[in-house]
Amino acid sequence: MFFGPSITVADKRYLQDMYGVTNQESASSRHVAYSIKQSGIEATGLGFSATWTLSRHYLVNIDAAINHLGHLPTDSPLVERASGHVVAFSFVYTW
Amino acid sequence: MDYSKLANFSRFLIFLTFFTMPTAIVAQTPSPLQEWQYSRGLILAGIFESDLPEFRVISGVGSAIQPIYDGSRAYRVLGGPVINVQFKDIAFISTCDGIGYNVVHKRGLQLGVSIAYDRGRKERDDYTNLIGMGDKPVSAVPKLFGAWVVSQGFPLVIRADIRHLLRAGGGSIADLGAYFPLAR
Repeated sequence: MFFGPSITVADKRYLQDMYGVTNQESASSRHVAYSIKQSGIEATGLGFSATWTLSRHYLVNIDAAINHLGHLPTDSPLVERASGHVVAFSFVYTW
Repeated sequence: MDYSKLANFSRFLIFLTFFTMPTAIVAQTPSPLQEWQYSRGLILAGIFESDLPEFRVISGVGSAIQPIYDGSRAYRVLGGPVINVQFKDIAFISTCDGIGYNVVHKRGLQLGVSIAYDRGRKERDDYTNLIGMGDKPVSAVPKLFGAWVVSQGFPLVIRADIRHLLRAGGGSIADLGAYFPLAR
């Protein structure tokens, strides 16, 4: 099992591309225009990963994380919820 | 110092690093998974195993529940194959981390380059919120990364990377993370 935090920063180009709303997009969507003109924290988060061995070759893995967006993305009209969660399972064979 | 407990913990870490090859199926960005989770534990194998096997291969299936896009209220289920091929601690091909090569692969230190992909974002993924926003196409993502283990006795791993999305308007993004194996 592993556990740990991380922080993600992005340049203004990435933040604008993912969370910005241009005037053109605003006209064709239901969102007000939103422009991000500076780089900054995209998100911070915590992750947990674990493995269970079913046999010598078969494993089950679980990965979970919670991610909280920084204030620049959070202020975007596209963002409904600043925190997101993920849970992933996999069943694998080790050759 | 209780050497029996240290020996047991070391054996546990050897087991962990050999069997816990990353299998996150939604590892390619964007995803709420932390960047370190895509390669978790692999650098520890070089410390706790003196003779790494030439190849380590895993394959299987996986699924994940995550937001439709970063910031959305709605969630969706993704599924797909899991494939991970590791050539010692030198190179890898993975559904998690793309295709990569560790330029520096010393005991407790890795520096490398890789090429992965970003899944982008489509209007139809969440039509209510994304209509009129256009599609963000899938993009190749070249990455520089590094990982460092503090010590064998305290196997905290510090990992950092910087990556650039090659699609028009993509931009660059960097991560700094840390993780620690939890004892049973």
